[in-house]
Amino acid sequence: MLAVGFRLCGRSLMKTFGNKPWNFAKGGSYQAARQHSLDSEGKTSMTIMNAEPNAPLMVDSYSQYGFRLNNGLAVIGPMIIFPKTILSWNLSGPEDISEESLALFFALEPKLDILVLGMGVRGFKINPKVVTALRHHGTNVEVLTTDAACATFNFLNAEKRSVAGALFPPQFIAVTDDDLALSQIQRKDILKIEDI
Amino acid sequence: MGLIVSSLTRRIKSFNIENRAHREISKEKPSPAPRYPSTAKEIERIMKENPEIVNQHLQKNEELYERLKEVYLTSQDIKIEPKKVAEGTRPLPLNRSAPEDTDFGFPEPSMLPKGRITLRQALKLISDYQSDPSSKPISAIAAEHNLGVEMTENIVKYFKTFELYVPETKTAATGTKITEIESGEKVKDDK
Repeated sequence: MLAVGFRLCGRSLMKTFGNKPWNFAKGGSYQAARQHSLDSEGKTSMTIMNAEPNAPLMVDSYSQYGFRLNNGLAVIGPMIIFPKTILSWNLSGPEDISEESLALFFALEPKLDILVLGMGVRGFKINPKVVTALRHHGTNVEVLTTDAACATFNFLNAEKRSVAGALFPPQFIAVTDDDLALSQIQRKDILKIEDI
Repeated sequence: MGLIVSSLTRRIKSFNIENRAHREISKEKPSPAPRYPSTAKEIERIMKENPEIVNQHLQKNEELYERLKEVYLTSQDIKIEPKKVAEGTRPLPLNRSAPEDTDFGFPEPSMLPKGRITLRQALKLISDYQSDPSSKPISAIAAEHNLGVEMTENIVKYFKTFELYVPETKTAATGTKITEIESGEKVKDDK
């Protein structure tokens, strides 16, 4: 099945307080804060990290073909994302991860605080040789599925850490009606009826 | 065993609980909680020995009441002298501005250990190599940046810069079919 729409990142982190459901035109990672208000009950405020002024590069959404970033660019294929830079990662899949294909991270100065590896597949076991190499070079690594890796990278980047994300587009996305609606809203063709 | 006992006693305790509760809360005046036995005993003793103290305690003392009326509280501002901080040997920081925004989101080092490159150098290296791989042999690039030849080979092999494609109009969409991307054809617009 083709990826019909971009899945928003970090939607599991979206929290609603009070009784109004939130309606977003854009995805990203959300930090909701309850403000105690004496005027009325349930008044809340919310900051969308991805939409903050002078926010660093963050991943807004992902699909089976790539990622959409918070500066409006869509990226196709595996990518390396630094706080303000992106590079293409010339690999075909997570099985190609090796000491050689991670070379750049070992050569960088200043050393990365953490490298977030986003595997396109759930439950992918990384080669033990690679783990040994990472340990040898003293690189902290977090191996996650792509959806979790996007959210983790966004949060770490918002905290202004020296972080890099190496992300593969997920191989499978279970598309929900909600995703379809959101992507239609994004493309502004909500009233279009698709041919069957 | 304990489980059986507690389940039985709980049933006894909660028997007709709602009716009893309603009866209790519909009372005009709530009945006070029973006194602790030792407290009750002590009060009884005082009542027996000198009951006038208890009676006096229950009556309003006019004299004390009048005195209380005469009590007033006034306040005046006290000028507080700011405490002088003891001067240390080192000067206090004067610049309180936020650190400047850097190009890559983190400060770049001024000194580089051997075998390491900054992100700025890495980007230049990768984009230069990608634009014209034949211009410089990899060994020359490696020597220029104090990197190992193998490391440099890996960097230029596995890391590439993205080609930027901006559609001319919004309706022009991507110009590349998904099937073309899947088949590995170069992603670009054909104008």
